[in-house]
Amino acid sequence: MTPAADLRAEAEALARQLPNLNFKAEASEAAHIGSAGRRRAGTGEHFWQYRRYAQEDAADRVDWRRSAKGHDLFVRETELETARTVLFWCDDHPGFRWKGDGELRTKAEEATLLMLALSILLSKDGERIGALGAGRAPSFGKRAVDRLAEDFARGTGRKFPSPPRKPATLVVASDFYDPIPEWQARLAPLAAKCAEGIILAVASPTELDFAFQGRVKLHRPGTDMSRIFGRAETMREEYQKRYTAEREALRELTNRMGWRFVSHTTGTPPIRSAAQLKAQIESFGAKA
Amino acid sequence: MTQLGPFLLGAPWALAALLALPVIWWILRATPPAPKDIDLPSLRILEGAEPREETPARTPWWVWLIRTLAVIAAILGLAQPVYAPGAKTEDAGASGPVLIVMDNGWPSAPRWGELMNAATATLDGAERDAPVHLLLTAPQQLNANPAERMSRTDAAKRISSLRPLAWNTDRKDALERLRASGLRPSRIFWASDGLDSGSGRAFAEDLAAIAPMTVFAAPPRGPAAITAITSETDSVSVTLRRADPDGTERAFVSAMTLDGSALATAEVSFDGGATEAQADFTIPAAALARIARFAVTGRQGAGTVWLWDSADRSRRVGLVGAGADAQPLLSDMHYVRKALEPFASITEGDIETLVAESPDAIILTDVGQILPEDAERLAKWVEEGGALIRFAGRAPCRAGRRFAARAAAPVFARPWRGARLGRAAGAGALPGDVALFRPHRTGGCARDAASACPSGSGPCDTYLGAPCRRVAPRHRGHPRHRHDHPLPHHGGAGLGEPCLFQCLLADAAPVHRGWPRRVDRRRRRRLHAEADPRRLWPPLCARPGRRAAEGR
Repeated sequence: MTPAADLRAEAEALARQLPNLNFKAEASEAAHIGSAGRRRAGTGEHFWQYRRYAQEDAADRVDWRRSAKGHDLFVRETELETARTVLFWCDDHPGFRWKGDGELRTKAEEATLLMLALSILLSKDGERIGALGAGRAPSFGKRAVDRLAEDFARGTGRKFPSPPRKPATLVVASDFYDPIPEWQARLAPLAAKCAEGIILAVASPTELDFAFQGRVKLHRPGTDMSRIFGRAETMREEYQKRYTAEREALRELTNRMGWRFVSHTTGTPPIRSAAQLKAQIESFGAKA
Repeated sequence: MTQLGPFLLGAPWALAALLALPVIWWILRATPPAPKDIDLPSLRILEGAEPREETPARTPWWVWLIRTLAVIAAILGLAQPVYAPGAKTEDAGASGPVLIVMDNGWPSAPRWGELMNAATATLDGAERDAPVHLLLTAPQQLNANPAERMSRTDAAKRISSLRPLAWNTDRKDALERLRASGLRPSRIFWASDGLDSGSGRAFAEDLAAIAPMTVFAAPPRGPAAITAITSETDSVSVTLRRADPDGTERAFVSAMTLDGSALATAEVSFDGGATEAQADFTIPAAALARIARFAVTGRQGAGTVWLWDSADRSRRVGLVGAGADAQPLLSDMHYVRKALEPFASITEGDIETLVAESPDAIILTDVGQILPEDAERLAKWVEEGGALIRFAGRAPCRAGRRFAARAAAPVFARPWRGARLGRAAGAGALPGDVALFRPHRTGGCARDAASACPSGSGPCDTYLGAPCRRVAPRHRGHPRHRHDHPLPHHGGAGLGEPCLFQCLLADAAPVHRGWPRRVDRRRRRRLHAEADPRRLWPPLCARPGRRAAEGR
């Protein structure tokens, strides 16, 4: 287990290696008034541009200081400043907070690391971030990252959270080993509320390989489910076939919801998955 | 117990389980090894997947080998092997009744604990359920029946409650009792006292003929018994015997008073090879009189205690001097002194002095005339328990008639050493012949009695009175029995031993014609009952002779 502080430091390092997040301004449909400049004229504090007076503009919108310099009338526009809300959820099932033999971090820690790195990028960009189902409102700034880390450590009591009250961008991290219909039932309310979401599936190499031999008794942590295989090696092929099928089904489910799918394997460099995660969250703004 | 090489097997039939080994081997082979426990969160994926081949992996050969060896070791362990090279297996009949023979006579007393331990150890070695029988060799009125069955715990309790007796064992009698009981023991243990006593070897052989026998017979250490005692006026020597003549040994003998305090202690040392040793005491005569017993210090049991009483004790005797004598070798005093010197301490003097000293006995040689005051004193002293011995010579006979009316005149008697002095004195000084007293019908008490019986020509008949050691209180001072019967007359002062010997003059006899025989018989019985030569003076009995009766 990596202490939370170490995890936080690693996430900082990871975020530093990534280029700045770029939510496309035009993609910003969100209703929240915030500090994130949307690179277009709108309601905000900061100057955006002067434009020529149009007939439909009200008279009091004329910027007299600028207009006095010449013969034309100019209107002063500010940049539109809004904030998007990104909510994270990390599975706290014992099977997710588990690591195989010889692995450095549990799957939950890896997921936390990735999501913290993303949240650092987001908070730098001025977005509102928070934990889904944590019971507190999403917030801005560096404190928000700390709160997120706390909420991850606390978990949600092994319950899948209910959807947020207002639409937000969701990042849901788990191993998704429960049957797909079950996940579909869980995710459907979320998808109905929030159109944007990312599924972060973290797996351990042990689970990918199924490199067992001989007589083994397999046990799923956190449950009383166990099975004895007289010869585990004969099951490997079947397992891997099923595993792939599961992942495919999950990906298809994600697509159907209009969400994005990112998978990560513990032990591989997190930078790739983090970059992928960033790219996927940026893609929500990439409307043609 | 079955022997198998150097091993004794307690349960040899357990080895039959080795036959089941192939089955066990097959079962062990068929049982798969314990599965490895592995956590796998993605196990849910495999839900509903049936393995194509469930044939479990075989147990590794070394696991199988270890298990088989463990089973073999367990079976061998159940056979209860004991490594005992050279051990002999016992007979099958060893589980029958066990007979424990114990010598409980006096020689066992010093090491009674050892005997008990040996017997108890035999019980421990015996089979759990084997009945135990007990045979005690010392004769007893209600001796235990050897046929009585006892459990092991009962026998242990019984043995620990036994005590050695003060008398000797009678092994012949014990063997008779064993035979009479019809007991057929399968094993005999004899806890012997280690003394052969003339019957030990035969007894052992007889027992061994009945059943296999084990004997506990360590030779007893230390002095076994006091066998003899000899006393002089102021010295005593005690003879001790021991059973084992090997080695030198030291012991201490104490002379003790009635209340148990030791007056003197003497050392005895046995030389190597000697079985006898002597302890010599030098004790003043006055102290000697207080000694009641000799005992070996620190030795238990009756063998090392010698009760010392009148039989061995030297006495203080007062001789009433007859004044200067022109011919000392012919005087009565001389012979009496000579005769008494080795056994008694003698004081001479006049009656007044002697009575004041109060010796054990006062002897009047041929003294006829006694002053009335002295006669009073003597009579008083005798009444208080003094023993007065008077020789009936001419002088008393001359004076007899005068005294007879008042009191009995003392007569000769010599209580300690039979008739020797009587003869000697009688030959020289007595008017009549000396003859052995006719032994009394009832035996014992008249054994040593002698009678100085004057011949028919003498003016009087003389009788010997028997000493009366203890007289019932009702006789004491009773007017009827005080002066008027011929048997020894107790002084009535409760002093125990002193007696009065009376002489009956011929004309005094009628007084006693009506003497009640009933009393006589009763008293004689009492005497007989106490007729132990070591505890009593040799009793002298007398009764009115036929001649006295006819003389009337």
